[in-house]
Amino acid sequence: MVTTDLTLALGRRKLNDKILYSKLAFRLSIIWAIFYYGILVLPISPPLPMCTTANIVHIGFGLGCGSLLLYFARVSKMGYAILGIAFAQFSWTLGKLFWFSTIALTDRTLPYPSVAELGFLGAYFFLIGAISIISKNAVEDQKNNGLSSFWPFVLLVIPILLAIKNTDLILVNISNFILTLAIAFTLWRARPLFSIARYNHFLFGVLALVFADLVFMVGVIYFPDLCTKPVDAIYALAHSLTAYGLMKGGIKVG
Amino acid sequence: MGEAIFIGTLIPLIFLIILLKGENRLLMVFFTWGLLAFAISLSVNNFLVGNSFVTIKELSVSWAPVIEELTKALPLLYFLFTSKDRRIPIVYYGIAAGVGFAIQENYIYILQHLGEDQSPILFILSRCFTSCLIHGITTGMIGYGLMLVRKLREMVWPMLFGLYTLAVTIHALYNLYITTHYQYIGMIMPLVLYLLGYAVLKINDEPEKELVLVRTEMEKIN
Repeated sequence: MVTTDLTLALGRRKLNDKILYSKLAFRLSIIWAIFYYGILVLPISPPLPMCTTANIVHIGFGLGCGSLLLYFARVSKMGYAILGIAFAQFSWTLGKLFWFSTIALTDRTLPYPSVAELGFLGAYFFLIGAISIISKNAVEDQKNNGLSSFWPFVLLVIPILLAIKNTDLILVNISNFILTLAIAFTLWRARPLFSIARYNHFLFGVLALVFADLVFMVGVIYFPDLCTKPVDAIYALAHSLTAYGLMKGGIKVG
Repeated sequence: MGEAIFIGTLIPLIFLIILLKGENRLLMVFFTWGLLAFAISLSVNNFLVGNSFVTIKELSVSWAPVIEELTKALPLLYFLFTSKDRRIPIVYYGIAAGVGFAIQENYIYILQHLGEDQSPILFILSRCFTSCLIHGITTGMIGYGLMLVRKLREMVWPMLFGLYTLAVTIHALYNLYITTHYQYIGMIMPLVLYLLGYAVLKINDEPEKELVLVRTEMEKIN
């Protein structure tokens, strides 16, 4: 006979399992990063084509962590915010899937910017919305400390400098500027969370994604041959850290 | 011929819309908008190809999804600016616009197969299970997201733009797969998304008991 106690126990087990899965994903992403950078730095020939493997790993982590967050969104009081983060991960992953599929399935190289960039950009727009909700719930009194609170917008210097150096790449410059603006706005909305310890992992995940995207932005202009090589392992880390951090921090607030 | 079919469908629908009331009228308005959205998208796409901005091959995985998703979803903004009722199931209006778009697109494809000996039924059936579903799902997804975002009453625009980019990416992915040797992925994709959408709407209608139980348990953990 199924009793209430048994159902509650199952519910608890399911939720704890999901948090454990996200922790496992985080640990796996660290192992992957060590393996990836080890092969990149050490003078050994990789057992697999690294760029393709890295893309498959990103997509796997993105879909996996997004699905875990979807489940968590259903049982959390911050459901809409977590749903937003899950959609951010899906948007980024679909952008990556488009990028990877175009290169793998057709003989064409993908122009920059392309539809894939819309997927990456969309991830930040979901993050802006979701982080705003989390910040509002976490900090009642959000103070604006004058101009200093706008520190994230300093990042706009990067696309501006890139645009000055490459005036002929109009579409690239516009795309870079919009992406950096979205990144800056995301970080600006996340300011109240920086002082809350339970969101540290989550914020590190977001910062890792921001770092990887900014490095890619500079790299695609100055070192196009390197592709996403220097930051390839960071994306998986960013996804898993975001999911684990949010589930770990989120469970404390319901 | 295409224009004649368009006008022949549009005008009777307008007469019907005038007679209808409330939600039924709105649903038909969105469906009819889908037909119009196709005409607008086709004109813009033709302009881009005609002026050599993109080739036909590039169009389907670059500008076409961007333009088509925008034109289909545009009237959904109506709910953002005017309607105050937050319980309206916007998702269905989004799907109606998407399906209207897909039906008009089907007519054009049928016209292209007119001279052939083979019956176009098999071809059109495959489109019904693939392209038509994708058009309905992507706009429905924006509608569903808009429904959720309206409840939050903040950060509506970033979320809305996020939903739009998500719809464009899914549409472009579908167009990419359907034109390569991995067509079967493109053919399965709309059905999988449709079933997922159906499950989400079903769950929304009947909140599971388990959900309530797990929430209670979370409060105990805290």
